[in-house]
Amino acid sequence: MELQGRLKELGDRGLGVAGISYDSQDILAEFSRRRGIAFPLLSDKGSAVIKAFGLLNTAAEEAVGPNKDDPAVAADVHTYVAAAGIPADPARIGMAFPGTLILDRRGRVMSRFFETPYFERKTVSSILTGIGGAMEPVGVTRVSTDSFDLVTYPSDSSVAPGNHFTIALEIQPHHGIHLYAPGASGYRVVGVNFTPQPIFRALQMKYPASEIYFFKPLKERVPVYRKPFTLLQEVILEGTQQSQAILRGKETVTLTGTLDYQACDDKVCFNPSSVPLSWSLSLRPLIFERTSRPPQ
Amino acid sequence: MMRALPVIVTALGGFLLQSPARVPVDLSKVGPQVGQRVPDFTLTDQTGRARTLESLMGPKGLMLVFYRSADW
Repeated sequence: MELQGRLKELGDRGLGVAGISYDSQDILAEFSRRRGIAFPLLSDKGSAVIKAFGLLNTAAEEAVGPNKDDPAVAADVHTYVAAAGIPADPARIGMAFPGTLILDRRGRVMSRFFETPYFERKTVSSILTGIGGAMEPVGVTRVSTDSFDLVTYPSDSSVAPGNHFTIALEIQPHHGIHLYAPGASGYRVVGVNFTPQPIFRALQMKYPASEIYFFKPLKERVPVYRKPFTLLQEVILEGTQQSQAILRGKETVTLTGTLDYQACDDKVCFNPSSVPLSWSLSLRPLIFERTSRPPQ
Repeated sequence: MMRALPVIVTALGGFLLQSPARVPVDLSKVGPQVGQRVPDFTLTDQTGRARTLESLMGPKGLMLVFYRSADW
């Protein structure tokens, strides 16, 4: 379990860690022993707390219920049950939607990660990168263009199929230069375009706040980035059957793409431009292990 | 009066038969939202100890991970 490996780092940041599921204490005890889990795994057998949090995977229940043939139900069952490899089975009723809540000491939600289904899980790094600064980046690429200096790295040095990770791009515009931010019409807004590959899917790009710049030559106000800024592009290494077939036997995966931008100084705008980039990550296999149970 | 009755029954029947449209799940809307306080709870951990929400907290808070199951 990835969390176990990152426990010290989370502790250094002052965060407690706990897992919660509908498993019985016996199952958790066995799992914890087998995997050497050093943080609490809470047994919410009966799912009272999962329900109190509003996180019951209702699709799992509907998958075996009287409405299972309703097209709207079938669509959600596909998304939240079947596609995750979960059999439509009464034993699965009571499961939570998977995700993470970051709570402050008073129990208030500071951030939450429940946006996508399947067994995609944000990696710990991806979460930490998203909530502001985390570990020593590994696999750093540095590029300098006429307009800016770039440092880019993935949030994780290794990923398993189904994991999200984040590509960070720290951009420092050179003196007097600005790049275009979302909302700047007529200019190429800074962004990342990935070479399409079946194993990768780009999710959200998180843009920081921009500033409004008054460009004298054309007397226009445009949103730009002038000071150093960081783009966070979320990517998923697909856990689909197709993707797993492609990944079989591989030890690394390489994501390629371009950083596209347009730079201007106080007087002139340069042509839109692109920097080719690539990010390599080691591949961690997906491990499905069943806790051994005595025969019923 | 007798004439009107079937109309009323039908109207009522129509109302009773109509069930609300099922809304698809939107994962961004399920569960506690940013800024909301989560419910307190006490659950047993893998060692058999009872743990309250407060007892799980670190100095800066808690990362609470909901996962499907340890069993598959």
